[in-house]
Amino acid sequence: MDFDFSDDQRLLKDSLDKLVADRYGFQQRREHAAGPDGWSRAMWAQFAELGLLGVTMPEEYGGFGGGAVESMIVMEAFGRALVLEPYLATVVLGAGLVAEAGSAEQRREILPAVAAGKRLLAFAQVERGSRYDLADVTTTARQASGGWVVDGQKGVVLHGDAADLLLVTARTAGERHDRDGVGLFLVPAGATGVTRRGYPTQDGLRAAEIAFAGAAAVPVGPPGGALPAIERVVDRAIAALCAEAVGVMQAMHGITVDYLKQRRQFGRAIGEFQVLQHRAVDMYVALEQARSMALYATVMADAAEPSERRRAISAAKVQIGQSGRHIGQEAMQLHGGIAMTMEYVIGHYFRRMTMIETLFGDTAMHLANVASSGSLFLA
Amino acid sequence: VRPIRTIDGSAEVNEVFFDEVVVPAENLVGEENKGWDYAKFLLGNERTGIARVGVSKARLARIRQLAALEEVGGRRVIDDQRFRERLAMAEIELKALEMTQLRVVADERRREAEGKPNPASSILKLKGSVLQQVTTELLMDVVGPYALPYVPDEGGRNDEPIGPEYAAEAAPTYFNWRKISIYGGSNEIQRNIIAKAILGF
Repeated sequence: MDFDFSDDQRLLKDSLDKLVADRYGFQQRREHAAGPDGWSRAMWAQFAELGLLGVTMPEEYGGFGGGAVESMIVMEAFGRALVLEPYLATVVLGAGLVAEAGSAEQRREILPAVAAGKRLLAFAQVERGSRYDLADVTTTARQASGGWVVDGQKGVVLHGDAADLLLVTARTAGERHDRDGVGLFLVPAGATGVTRRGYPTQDGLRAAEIAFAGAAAVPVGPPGGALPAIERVVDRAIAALCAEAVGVMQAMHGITVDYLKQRRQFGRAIGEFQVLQHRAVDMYVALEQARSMALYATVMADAAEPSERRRAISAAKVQIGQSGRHIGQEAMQLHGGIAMTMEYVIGHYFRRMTMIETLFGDTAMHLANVASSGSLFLA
Repeated sequence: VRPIRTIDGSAEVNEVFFDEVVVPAENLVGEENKGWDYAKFLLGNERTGIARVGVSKARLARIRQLAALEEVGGRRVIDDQRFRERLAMAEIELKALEMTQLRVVADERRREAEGKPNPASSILKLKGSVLQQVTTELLMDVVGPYALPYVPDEGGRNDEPIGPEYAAEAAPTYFNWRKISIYGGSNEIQRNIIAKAILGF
């Protein structure tokens, strides 16, 4: 297996490393967060200028035609810097759904605008009680006077407060948990019948509760059969989150090791104590295992066979969840009291890592997935 | 040569006594006083091989087969959700280790010019040994009470097996495999190596 990046991918990684080093230090991040949106429009414009928003989009829509590897490179760098901007919501999920399920016209209309940084998207999927089940949809879509209208409540819509366009899962037929009858609909966030309540999330990002009351909507893909496309995009989003998590873990581990070397107690650097060295090593092993599985998720994100893809993605999310808890909790403990303060960086990484686990299925759910889907090795 | 019996009942290790043994000069391997360098090179490779991902894979496949034969509470062990999740967790960690091994091997090719083993090979030893032990534990848990009978390894005997044939090896394998995290540089030594060579303590 070849783990070397292509020249273009290496360039992408270098420019991202430079970007986060120059523009996304801890103090700069605080300034980005202090803006009216809770993130920085100026940074977003810079992402667009650097081509980051279109890196995974087809070239015909103003993108660079990249795929899962490019997505991994971006997300890992964003994880290291705890980037606040709506990249996952707009590019990975929103544009991903339009590219996957949208008509040619919808793609032409939306993707170049996203790549240019001029349009923000959000994926309105979670409902009260649905947890992580993508087929558990009670929001409805029905045809009325030549178009579609959507009714229902969506929650924890990532960056839903800033989005211009919402991609909403809604049921056109069947019962609450049926796989058939789930559609995907585009609803302009400012449309009549849409009410939004935005709020900050535990990791310093943003989300919204959104109510739809007879809001006019346009179907994306087959109105009653969008679930397979949604699952493909969500699996790519999970792979992207795994990469982001690796960035977060790498930062937590690096900062903790540096701290152990600097912090003095009992007349020596605490990193001289073997008991702490060994704990730092166990964190490192957990990090490398997580990196391996993020890579595996990246390789498998576009696997043709849905059950094989799902199993691999779930396996990666389990490893990320396990490693993330271990590294996060140890990073907190090895720092001691300073880790508990908002002023210090480590707690912010810990918060993001913890919240990543709750996105698109937690460790318990994904472990149950793997357990019920046969062996990872008998492919 | 004196055989040493180990806790699984076998005698795969021995005490070897050398008493004024004359060795011809042409039997010297390599150069004089370079033995430790050769040993270190060997140990680096031993650590890459010691992960034994293939052995663990094969054992997990075997566990899956046996779990379909054994029953618990009127159901096959393989249909027990808790057991399946333990098995799934072992597979996930093993898949991660397999990927880590591929990464180390790819990197090894790049390092060949330098002739230094990748310190990350210590991860393979550390994680690989623990996973091998996890699989032997699962195997023993699958066979249940028929892990109990002890059949001493005395050679030449051909007694009727006690209980299912596959059960006899479960406990001895579990016992024997405790060595994996001890030999080839104990896992604590591996942690020392990683702390120094990779983390810079």
